[in-house]
Amino acid sequence: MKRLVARLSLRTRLVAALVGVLLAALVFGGIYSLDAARKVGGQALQQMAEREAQVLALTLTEALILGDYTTARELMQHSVQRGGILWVRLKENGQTIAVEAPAANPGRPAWFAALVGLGPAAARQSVTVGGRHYGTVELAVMPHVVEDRLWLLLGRIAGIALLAGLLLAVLMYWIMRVNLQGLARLAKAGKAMEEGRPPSGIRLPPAAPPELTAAAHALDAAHARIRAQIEQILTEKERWQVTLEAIADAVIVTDADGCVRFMNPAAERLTDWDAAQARDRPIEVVAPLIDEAQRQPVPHPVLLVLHGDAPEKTMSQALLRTAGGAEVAVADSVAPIHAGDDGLCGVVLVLHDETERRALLAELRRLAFHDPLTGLPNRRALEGRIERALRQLGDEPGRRHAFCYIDLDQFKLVNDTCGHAAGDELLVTIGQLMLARLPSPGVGGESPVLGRLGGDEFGLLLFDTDSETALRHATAIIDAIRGHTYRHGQRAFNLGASIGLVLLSAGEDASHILARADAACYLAKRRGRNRVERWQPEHVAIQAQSEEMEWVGRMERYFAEGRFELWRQRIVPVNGSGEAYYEVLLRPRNEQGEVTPPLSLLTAAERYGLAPTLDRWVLRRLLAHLRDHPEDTARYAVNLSGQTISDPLFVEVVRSVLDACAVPAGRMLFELTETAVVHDIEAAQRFIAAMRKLGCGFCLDDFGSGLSSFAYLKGLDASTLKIDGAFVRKLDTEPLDYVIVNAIAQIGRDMGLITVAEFVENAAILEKLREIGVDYAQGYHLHQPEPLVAPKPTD
Amino acid sequence: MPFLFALAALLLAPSSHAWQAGGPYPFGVLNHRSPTLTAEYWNPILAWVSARSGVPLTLKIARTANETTDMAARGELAFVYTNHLFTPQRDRLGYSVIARQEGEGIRGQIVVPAASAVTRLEDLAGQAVAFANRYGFTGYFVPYDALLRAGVEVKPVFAGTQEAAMGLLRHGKVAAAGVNHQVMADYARREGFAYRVLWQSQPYDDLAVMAHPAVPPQTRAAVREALLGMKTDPEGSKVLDEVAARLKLPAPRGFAAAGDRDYDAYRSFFRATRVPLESQ
Repeated sequence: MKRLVARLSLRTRLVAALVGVLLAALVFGGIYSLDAARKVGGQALQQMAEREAQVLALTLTEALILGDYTTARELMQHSVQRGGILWVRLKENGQTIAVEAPAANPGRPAWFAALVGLGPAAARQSVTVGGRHYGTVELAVMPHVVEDRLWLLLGRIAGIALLAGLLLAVLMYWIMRVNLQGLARLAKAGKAMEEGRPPSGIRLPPAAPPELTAAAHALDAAHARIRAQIEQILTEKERWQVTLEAIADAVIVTDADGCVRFMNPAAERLTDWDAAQARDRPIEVVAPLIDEAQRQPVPHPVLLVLHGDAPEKTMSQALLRTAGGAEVAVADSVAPIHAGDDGLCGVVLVLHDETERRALLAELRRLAFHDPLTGLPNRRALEGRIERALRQLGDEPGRRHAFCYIDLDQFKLVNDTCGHAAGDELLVTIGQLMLARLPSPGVGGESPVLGRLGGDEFGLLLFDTDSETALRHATAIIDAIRGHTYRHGQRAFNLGASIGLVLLSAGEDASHILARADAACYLAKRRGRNRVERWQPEHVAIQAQSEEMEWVGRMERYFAEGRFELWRQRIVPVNGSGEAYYEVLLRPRNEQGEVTPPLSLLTAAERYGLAPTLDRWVLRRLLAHLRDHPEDTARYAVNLSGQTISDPLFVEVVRSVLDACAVPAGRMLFELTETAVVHDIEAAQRFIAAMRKLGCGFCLDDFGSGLSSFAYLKGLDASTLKIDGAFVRKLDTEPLDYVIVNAIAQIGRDMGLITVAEFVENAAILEKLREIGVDYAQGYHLHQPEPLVAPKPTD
Repeated sequence: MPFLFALAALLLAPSSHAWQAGGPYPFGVLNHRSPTLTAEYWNPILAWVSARSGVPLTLKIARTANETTDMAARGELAFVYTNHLFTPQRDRLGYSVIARQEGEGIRGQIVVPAASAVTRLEDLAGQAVAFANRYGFTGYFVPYDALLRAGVEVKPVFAGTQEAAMGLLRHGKVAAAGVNHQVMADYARREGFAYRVLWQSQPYDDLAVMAHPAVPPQTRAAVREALLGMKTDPEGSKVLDEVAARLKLPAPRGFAAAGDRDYDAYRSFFRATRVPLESQ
C-alpha cells in the first residue's frame, strides 16, 4: 500500500482524496439525511393526516348538522380527489360512509418509496358541535405527498451536488494547475541544482500561492547562497592551495586509509616524490620515517593517528628517507581531519626540514661547551667535567685527579700593544701548544682535559695523577709557554704562566675546585709568576683570596640587608684656591654592626665581575641623596671600576639617573683607579668623552702605581690626576717620594690637569704638597671620612 | 290551495315522521345564523331540556330559514323555534305556542353602515337592500313593508339568513339591510360592525317555541316546563350563560311563558301588509 501511495503523483493524491471525501460525504450525508427525512417525513405525514382530518371534519360539520349526507359524501369525495388522501371514512351511529382514492402512479421509481420506507399516516377527528356528537371522520394520507417532496428535494440536492462537484472540479483543476505547475517548476529547479546547473530563476504562475512563492524565493536564495559559498570555498581553496604551495614545510594529506591524496611542492621536494605518482600510495611508502638513533623505521605518526593509537595532534622528530634514498632530518606533526559527524576522514602530515636547525643546534651545543676562539672546552664544559671527576672519586675512592688553573703572564701586554686580534691569535697558539704537551691518558684511560676558562686563563684536568706528577706536568706546560716566542711584526714576546694546582677531593664541587686553583694561581702570580703553586689552606694570600671569594656570596646578602653605606671624605684645595669636594666611599657594615674597610670587597668585585653592580648602586644612592638634600651643593667624586666604564650601557645609566634626580652633571667627578683593568680601552674612551660632554669631571686615581699609568694618561681624557697614596704617605720623610710626586705634579701641570694627593696624614706632608704645587689634598689630617648623611645638629 | 296543504299535512303527519313513532323529537330552529352557530347555541340547550324534561329532543335545521319553515310546514318538526308560522296559511298548520324567547321583543330595522351617506329611506330608492329570506318577519316583511309604505323602490337581495344579509351590508354589497334588531345588535357586537338605523318598527314578541299538534300534551308540557325553568335552574342558567358567551350575546336569554294570543300582532301585520304574501 505504501509503495502504491508512494508512486502516486500529487495530482492523483489530491483527486483521490477529494473524490473519496466527496463520496464519503455523500454516503454518510445521504444515510443521515434519509434517516432524518424518514423521521421528519413521518411526522409531517402524521401532522398532515391530522390536519386533513380536522379540515374535513370542519368541512363536514354543517352538512352533518343539516343531516345532509349526500353533501357530506360529495365533500369527502372532493377531499380525496384533491389528492394526497388515500381514503376517508365517516362513522355515525354505526353507519359508515367510505371514499377511497384510486390507485395512482407516483411517477418516480418504486425503489425510492422502498428506500424512504414511509407508510400511510392515518388520523381521526370527531365532529361535535355544542356538545352533540355528529360523527367521526377517519382518513389516511398517502406517503406519496412526502415522498414526492423528498423526491423533489433529492433531485434538487443531486442537482446542487452535481453543480457543486463541477464547480469544485473546476476549482481543483485550477488550483492544481496553478500549484502543481509551480511545484513542477520548483522540482525542475531543484533537479537543476542537484545536477549542478543554475536553476535560472523560478517563474511561477501569476496566481501561485504564497507558500510556493516563498519556497521559490527560498530556493533562489539557497542557490544564491550555495553559489556564494561555493565561490567562497573555491576562493578559500585557491588561497589555501597557494598557501600550501608557498609554504616551506612539506604538507601531505592522506585519506582515512593512509594513502596520499595531496602533496604540496615542498613535500615533493622533500620526499623526492612527484605528487601525481605519490597519489594513492601509502604514506609509509611516500614518506617513510626512521629513528635517528636506532636507524630503524618508526611507527608512522599518520597511521598512529588513523588507528587511534596517538593523540590527535602529535609532533616528533625523525629522519625522512626520500625516494632517492637520502635521509633528511625532519620534525613531523600530524593532525586528523574530521568530516562532521562522519568521523576521521584523513590526516594532515606536516614535515619540517630540520637539517639546518639540527646542524645549528649541534653547533650551538658545541659552542655552549667550547671556546669559540681556541676550540677548547669552555669554562662550563670544564666545570662539568670536574663535576663528573668528583663524582668518580666518590664512586672510586682510590683514584686521584688534579686540576691546574693556568693564567698567562704578560698576555695583556700583547693584547694592549698588538691589538685583540694578535691576542686572540696568541691564545690559539698557546692552546695548541698546551694540547701538544698534555700527558697520555692515565690508568683509568681518560685523557686530560684542557679548557679555556676565559680571557688568558686556562684549566687543565688531569686524571689518575698525584700531586707531584701533576706538578711536573704543570711545570712542563709553563716551560713550553715560556719557550715559545710570539712574533708580531717586528716585535717578539715571550709569555709566561702562573699555575695554581689543586687535587680533587670527593664531596666538593667544581666551583670550590676552581676557586682554590684560582687562589693558588693568584699566589703564584704574587710570588713572581712563571711558577706553580699548590693550593694550601694555610697560605695568607690564599686566605685573602678566600675572603674575596666569600664576598662573592656575601654581597647579595649585604645588599638585601642594607649593610652597604656611603661615606665621604673631603678633598680640599692645598693653596686655598678652589672649592673643596668629596670622594664617596663605600663602607660595608658587618654582622657586628662595625664599619669595615672595603678592600677585599672591591678586589673581589673587580675580580669576579661584580664591580658594575656596586658602581651602579653607589651612583644611584649618591644621586638620590643629593636629590633629597638640596642643601648639599658640594661636588662628589665617585670611583668606577674598569669594567664599569667599559660597559657601553653605563653612559645611559649615568644620564638617566642624573636627569631623574635633577643633579647637574658638573657636580660629578668619576675616578678610575689606574690599576683597574680596562678591558676595552676604546669603550672607556667613549665613556669618558660622553661624561666630559655632559659636564662631569674624570680623574685617574692611584696614578703611578700601575704599569700603564702613562698609557692611560695619554689615552684617556682625564681632567684630574690623583697621585697614588703610596708616594704621598711618607712624602715628608722619603726624598724619592718627593721627587716622584713632584714629577707627577709637573706632568699634571704640563697637561693642564688638576692634581690631587691622597693619604695626607700630617701637616708636614701638606706643606710638602704646597711646595710642590699639588692642587688638592685628601687624608685623615684634613678630614676623617664620615657618613654621607651627616647627623643633624640636634642629634 | 291552503286548505289542501293543511289537509295533506294532517293526513301525512301521523304516519310519515319517525318522531311520532317514538324517536327523538326534532326541534327546528329558524336560521338566524349559520347552521354551525345555531347548533353551538341550541345543542347545549336542547341537551339540558331533554335531560330535565325526559323528552329526547334533537336539533333539526335546514340549510335556509325558508327550508326550515318548509320542514315545519311538512310536519317534520315536533318543536320549532320560529316566528314564520303566523302567516295566514301557516297559521292553519296547527303549531301552537308553548313559550317564547325572553326579551323586550323584536323590531324590524332598516340599517346602513355608520359611515354611509344614506340618511333617509328615500335615499335607498333604486338601491340594493339585503334581506334574510322571503319568510323572514323582522328580516324581510316588516322592513320591506315600511319601504313599500314609504314608496321607496329598492332591489331586494336575499342572503339566506339574517347574518348573511348583515355580512353583505358590512362588505358594501348592498346599501342597506332589513334586519331583526336583536340579531343585528348581536352581530355588530360580535363582529365589531358600526351601523346606523334608518328606520325601525314597533316591537313584536320575540320568536316563539311552538309545538306540532301531534306532540302529546304531557310531552309538550314537560318541554314547556323545562324551558320556562331553565333560567332559574342553576345548571340551566349555566348552560344559557355558556351559549350566550359563545355567541357573544350581551346577556343570557331564557324562555318566558307565552301563548298563541301573544302573537296576534304578527297576525294583524300579515293581514295589513303591502308585501305580497304569495303562498305564505
